[in-house]
Amino acid sequence: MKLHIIKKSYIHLLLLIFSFSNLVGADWPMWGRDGSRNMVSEEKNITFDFSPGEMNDDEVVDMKTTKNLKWVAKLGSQAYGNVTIGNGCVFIGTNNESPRDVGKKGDRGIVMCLDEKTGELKWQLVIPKLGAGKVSDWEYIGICSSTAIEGERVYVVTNRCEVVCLDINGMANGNDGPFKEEASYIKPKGMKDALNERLDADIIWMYDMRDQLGVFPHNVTSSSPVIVGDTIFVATSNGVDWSHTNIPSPLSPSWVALDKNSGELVGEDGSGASESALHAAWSSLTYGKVKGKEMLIWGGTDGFCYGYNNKTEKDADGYDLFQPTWKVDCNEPNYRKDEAGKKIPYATPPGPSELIGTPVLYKEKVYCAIGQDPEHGDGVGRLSCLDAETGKTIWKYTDVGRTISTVSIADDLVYIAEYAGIIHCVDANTGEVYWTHDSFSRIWGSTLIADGKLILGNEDGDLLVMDHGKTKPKVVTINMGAPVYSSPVVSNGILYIGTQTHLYAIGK
Amino acid sequence: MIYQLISTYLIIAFLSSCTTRDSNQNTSIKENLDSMSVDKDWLFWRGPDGNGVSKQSNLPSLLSLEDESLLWSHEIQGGGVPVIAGGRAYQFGYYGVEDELQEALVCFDAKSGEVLWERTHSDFISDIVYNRYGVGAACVDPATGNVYFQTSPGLLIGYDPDGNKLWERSLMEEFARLTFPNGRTGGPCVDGELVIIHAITANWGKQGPARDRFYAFDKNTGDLVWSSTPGITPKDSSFSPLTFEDLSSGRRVFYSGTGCGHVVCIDARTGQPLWRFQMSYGGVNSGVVIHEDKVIAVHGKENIDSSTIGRMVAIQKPKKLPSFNEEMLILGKEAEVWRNNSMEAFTSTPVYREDRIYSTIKRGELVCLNANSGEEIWTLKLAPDQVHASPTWADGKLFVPMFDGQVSVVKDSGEEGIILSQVQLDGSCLAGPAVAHGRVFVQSKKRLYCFGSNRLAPAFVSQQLERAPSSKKAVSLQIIPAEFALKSGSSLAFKVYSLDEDGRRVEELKEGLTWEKWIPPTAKVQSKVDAEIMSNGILIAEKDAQLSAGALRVSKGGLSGVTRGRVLQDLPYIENFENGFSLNQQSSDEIAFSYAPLPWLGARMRWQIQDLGDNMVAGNTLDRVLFQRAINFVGHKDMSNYTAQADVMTDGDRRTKSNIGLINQRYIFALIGNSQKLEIISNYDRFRHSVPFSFKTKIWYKLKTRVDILEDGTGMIRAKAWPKSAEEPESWTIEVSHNNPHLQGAPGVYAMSPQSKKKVYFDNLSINYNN
Repeated sequence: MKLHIIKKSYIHLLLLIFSFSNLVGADWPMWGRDGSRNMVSEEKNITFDFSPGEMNDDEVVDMKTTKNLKWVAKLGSQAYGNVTIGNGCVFIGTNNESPRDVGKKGDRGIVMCLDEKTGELKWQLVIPKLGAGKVSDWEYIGICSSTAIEGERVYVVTNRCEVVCLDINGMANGNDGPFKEEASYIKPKGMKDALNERLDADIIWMYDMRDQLGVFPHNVTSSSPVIVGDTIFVATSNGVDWSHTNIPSPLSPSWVALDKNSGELVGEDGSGASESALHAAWSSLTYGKVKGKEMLIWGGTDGFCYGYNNKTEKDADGYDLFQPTWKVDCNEPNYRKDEAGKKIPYATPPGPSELIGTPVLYKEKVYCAIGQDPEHGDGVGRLSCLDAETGKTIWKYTDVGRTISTVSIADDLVYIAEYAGIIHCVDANTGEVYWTHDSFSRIWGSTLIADGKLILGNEDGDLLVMDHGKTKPKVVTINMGAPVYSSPVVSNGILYIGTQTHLYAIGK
Repeated sequence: MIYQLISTYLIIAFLSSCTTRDSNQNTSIKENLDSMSVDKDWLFWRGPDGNGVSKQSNLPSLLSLEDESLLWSHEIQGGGVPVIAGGRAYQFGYYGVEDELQEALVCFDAKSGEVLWERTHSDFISDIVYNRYGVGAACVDPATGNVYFQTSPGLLIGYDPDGNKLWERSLMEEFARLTFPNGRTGGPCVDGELVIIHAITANWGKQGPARDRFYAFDKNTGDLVWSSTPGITPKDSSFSPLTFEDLSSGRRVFYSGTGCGHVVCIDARTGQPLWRFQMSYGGVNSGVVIHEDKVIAVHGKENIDSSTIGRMVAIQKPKKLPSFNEEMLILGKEAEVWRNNSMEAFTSTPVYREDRIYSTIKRGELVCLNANSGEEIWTLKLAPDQVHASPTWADGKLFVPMFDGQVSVVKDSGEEGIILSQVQLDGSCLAGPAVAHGRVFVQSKKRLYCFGSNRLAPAFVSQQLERAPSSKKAVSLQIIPAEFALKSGSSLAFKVYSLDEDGRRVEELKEGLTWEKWIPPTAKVQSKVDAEIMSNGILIAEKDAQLSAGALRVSKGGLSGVTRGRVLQDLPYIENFENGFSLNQQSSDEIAFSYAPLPWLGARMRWQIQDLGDNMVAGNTLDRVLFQRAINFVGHKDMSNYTAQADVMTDGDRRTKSNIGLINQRYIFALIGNSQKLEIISNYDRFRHSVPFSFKTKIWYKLKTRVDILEDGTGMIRAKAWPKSAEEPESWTIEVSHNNPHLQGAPGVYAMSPQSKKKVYFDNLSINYNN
């Protein structure tokens, strides 16, 4: 009995600690924080009153000119990979401009591991370019994948179309395997880059999707892993070649599941979406339980959204496939064909689009919006609300243009930012629009709802801070000094804003 | 001055404008004569002086789509700048959306918008995507009124003012000019007797590595006068317009951005690279402007010394340029007078006027800067973003088209930019406006708009250039053509000029020349053309001359000059790789190989002649993903009605295979491994047809292709494939009729190994005229 009381008290204490930790702070261990990919933070007392300060010609921020910054970390010249935080580390993808390791200069993909308290670089994963040019590994684009962190392991997709598992401790605790070829991996062909045991990442295992699956990544490999049990799920970025019409690898999957411990292939997408790819399989996977069943949701490169049960079936050739239980076109019929039944060309303003932003799972519904590579310009869009169990379209909102952003949903309000620069607030149950705001600049990143505010950045480098709610908000703008293509994140009381060149940790 | 006017006389070259209706009968003769000024034409992409400025006045401040402002518009798609010569406007654009799409050079009556003539050209084998055609500009020769332009697949064509073709070069099939999905074709410019362009080429021999090269052609004949390779390995294509300058030393130079991130200075008469300055790791697409002793340039890619993207830089021009035969100067940071790191403009070219720079930048802003310091004077946000379009200054105001399709007329008050009017056009704007004779011409992606005066335009005024021979001492010899492609059974007469230290022609030399076949000491492949060079400078290739390549040198009195070229074997052409290939090279995957035949364009890094055990074959290289696709021409561009055949094979597994094929008359015929089909493509969006065709890896097949132009003008495009071990089937595997067929085109070989994973091979290539 006494034991029971102690246990009960202990459980109460744990619950108290857990609840408290939810209030005061929590890690943000993957793109979208968790499998639902709904970028909402429960944290309070976030600092929005800050100044990013001024920097001189060598791009060092003068901290005396800043306000309410914990630290600033210099990134490369481009940073699309969104920040994730876990186990005292902050991870961000960028390129190798402003090289942190003098022994490795030139264009590379970089994943930086920073100390959460100080912003100091702990270690970095340095990835040589594929050498394919723009078609598969665009120059200077860096790493677009957000890491997923679980315990001592960190998972990320590289610019070389590899899935890698990293040791969160770097090489500090030795070079753990089975992968032991870091010294040759980091060395681009014809170069003499040497392994730096203090700075270089410790790769635990690696899965090369080009070698193993025949994937043809288009422009860049961009997908952020989600971890479910012993499995991680990533999209492959398989798509068209430079012709933007031809699909060189129609038999390669759009996404795969790997054993998180070994890197072995568990299964692959059975939808066949690669054969009708409009562009590239960039959208990350979403996971959650729907009516008690494990569901995977994927935004297809063919413009369809797919729902899957989390289980594989063998096909006639012995491949383990995740077969979709539903698929639904997220395009209006008149985006696909005109009134005469003629196909409307892709990448024209009235034409169909794929899903690039990640579908969000909220109250057993899926919210997703179509869009295209920003290089394709503006065009028609659609925000869809789908029944997560059946895929049935509950409502759709078409007064929105193309987007590559992921929606945020709180208090039954959906926020979606379109590439043209307009932010929309829509009722999550009906699709009714409450307000819009034109930021008059391109938007690549996604919204975050935190502490009663809606936050996002744009290409002009403006960080927009708005009140969360149905009423058209007053907009506070803070210029960050460089374009903001990534998405804000809040973790453990700190607001993180990544520009193309710097990562700002904001807090008092 | 882009075109130095030394002596001017008037010729009434174009009377057509006089035949158009003149609704303003009150226009006086005096007004017309007053307007007959060469300053009022817009003959070149960036205007008379290449700086985006026109000297003319009486231009509208209000642009609107109402009748009083909009004179006419014409439904032509594209992103090009029209050029205006007297009463005529020439626009490079395109018509159509799908299979019927063709690029066009259209000649308009500038007053009425009536189409006087148009010439259309089909795409072939280009990588243009999403109909990004017509992004560039034609140019008009100030002396003759002839107009020159370059199509997206690389046809460089000259027309006279009545639309008669002067000459045509196929840069893709003759110089291995590469195409890119972005479609930034750009355009040529006429300078004196030359038509100059630049493009990324991966030609043969020394010019095999891909570089942004400059080519100057004789404007009357189309013969190549010089080529120039000033830069390093490019990261991008570049359509940077050229900016010319006469130096006090007597030399004439031009400046340009390049795909390798440099600003370069090149001798306009000889092509000698004089200096380069690297400002970016990516391409520089914007044109430069000249301010006193500085060249001002802007880019929108990675800087080489910081992680900021984009920069505007003022470069100090070197006081002393390299003389003939001296190495080019590599300018470094010491040449930088000022920089502005806030300027990010990948393709938009600035305007320069009276110590001020006006530039539209990526953020959608028009920025006015001090040309002496680079400091921003004022900034005006006009759109969410900006892509290619450039502003134009004329009559005290700036005409500023933006990517969102809005055109603003902006006045510089000194301290700020004031918007005088704005008009929303149908479609995005990718090009700068042209202004001429009281009119403002703006192209959106959908239409060409003409705003302003409805007065009759004057006739074109010819600007004849002085051709006084140089009295200076000759220092070198120039052979024209500087590169040749001679069919066996034909001959070619070279011209030789002596040049002075400024690159001016001293005289044409016809006597006392010594000709010889010449192997440059640096040549990796020791090769000579299979032709005889006569003492009178005529090169003769006999009917049985073999495919070959090499150089010729001419000498006289201690001076010399060099030309290079290929003899292209007339049909039949058969290559089984069994003779003449020494396996003295080693690939990174440890395959002993020989280089592909030197005269094959761009083939050196794409193909390895190797021993496959019992047979010598050609296999594609896999050691660089950049070279995963091979398109290599092996014959003359004028060939037609022939059959090309080869044995073909692909490696691979169930999931990943490669593609192997042949090029016949601007059509690619390929077995597509991963889709198990036989496909015929000219451009993926224009002409693409396929039939299912199941084929296995590591098994030799025969692929036979044939193109016939039928009596009714249509084309019959056919191919068949079958296992090599089997008998040839009687019927064709695929037959496609093409209403608008390509009438000629060089034969070639094609491979595509996705991600360079699985190798392909071919053997027993044979090309014969159709029976």
